[in-house]
Amino acid sequence: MAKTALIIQQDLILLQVLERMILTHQYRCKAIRALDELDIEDQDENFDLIISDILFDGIAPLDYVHQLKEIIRHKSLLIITSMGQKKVRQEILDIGNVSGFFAIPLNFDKVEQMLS
Amino acid sequence: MEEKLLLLIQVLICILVMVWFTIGFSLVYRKIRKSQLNRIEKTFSREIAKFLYPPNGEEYHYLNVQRALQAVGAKPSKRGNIQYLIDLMIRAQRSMLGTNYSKLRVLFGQIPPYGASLSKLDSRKWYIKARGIREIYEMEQVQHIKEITRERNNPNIFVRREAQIAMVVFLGWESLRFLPYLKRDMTLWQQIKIVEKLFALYPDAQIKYLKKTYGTQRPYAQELLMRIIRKFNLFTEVDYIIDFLDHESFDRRETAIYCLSSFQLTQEQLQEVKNKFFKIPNTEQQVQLLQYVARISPEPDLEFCNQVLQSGNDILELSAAEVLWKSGHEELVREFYYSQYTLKEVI
Repeated sequence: MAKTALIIQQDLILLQVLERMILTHQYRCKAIRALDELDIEDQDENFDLIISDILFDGIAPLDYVHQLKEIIRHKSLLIITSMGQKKVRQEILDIGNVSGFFAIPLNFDKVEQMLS
Repeated sequence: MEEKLLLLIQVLICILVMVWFTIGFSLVYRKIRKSQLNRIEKTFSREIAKFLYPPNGEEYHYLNVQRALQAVGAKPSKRGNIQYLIDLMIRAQRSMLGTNYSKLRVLFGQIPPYGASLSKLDSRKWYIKARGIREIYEMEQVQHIKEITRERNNPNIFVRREAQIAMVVFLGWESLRFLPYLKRDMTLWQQIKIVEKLFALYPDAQIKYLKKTYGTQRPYAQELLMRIIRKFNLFTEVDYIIDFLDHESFDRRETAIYCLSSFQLTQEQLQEVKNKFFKIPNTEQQVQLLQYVARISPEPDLEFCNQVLQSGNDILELSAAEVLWKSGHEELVREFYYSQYTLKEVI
């Protein structure tokens, strides 16, 4: 059975490229631009991988990560964001169970290494 | 009177209808335009994703990307759409590194708009010209460096700023051949931008280019060189900064003190700084330097501190006393201040 991935990115270019990259690694992938695009069935899913931004309207980055971890079941969480300051990175990684933090500009080769 | 009022009301109603019509037209136009741009963005993102990660592992030809973009209206005849496409291209290139970045560079060299940015350099409007230069360096179209170099002394600050940044992006350390000899001044913001760009794109310092420009007498160039030395932590070049500590210009001294403050100095350099300390004509700058000397010295130089205490300047005296007090030489401070009063006054 194919692995499942969820991508949440506001930037459409990044979203589509990440989606294509994930699909080439034989994942079943859902790509959305914000959490409110999730439907009720997604909450039953246990995603193998979530790739998400942390910058969204109306919610602080740390709160967002907490909420994401609570709402959606998953095995692994990767953060890809343009908010790549060291302090933010450290705070996010301190939350625990975050597999990786990548700042934009992003080297996709490194993300692919983590997938394979 | 009544007729005049009726006429006035009719005119006002006409104006009101025209305003409503304009608003309505604007709303419809914006809606259509937004959906057009969204279509271009969606197509661009989808095609780029396919180009970078082709379906079924087969190569995705650039002509497919070109055709898809043209189908949604991104063609040279529609300038607004082409400008939007250029912005998307810059955004895409900015967000990627590694193999994907190289692939995108190749792709953007193959698909239109050909020379759209270069043609902006011929515009008489400064903002179009500056935008054209920015697009050229963001998309690394290094073949246009000649045209950009011509704009480095442009009377408009924004045009020449972009041209100077483009030179740094394309030429790296070699651009120091030009920058210190520009005809117009460079603002502090521009200096910082140049140093940051140089550091981001060419982190390995090439000191030979730096040394070639030490002879420049232009104020902004001397400040720029000091900032470069600081940013790249070139401790072998610190003497260049020290030379400006007692410069006659307040700004040059200010920059020198600021840049020096991130370095540790050798004993000889420290002695040189102390010698120059008394030649600085501004008390605040002297205090800054004194605090810096105290910070980098493992033990306070008592002779130097004593000289400062005896300088006759109240602020300097207090600063030297603070340095001595914090380093455990309270006795010297007490002795100095008590010596200013007779025993009777102290009691």
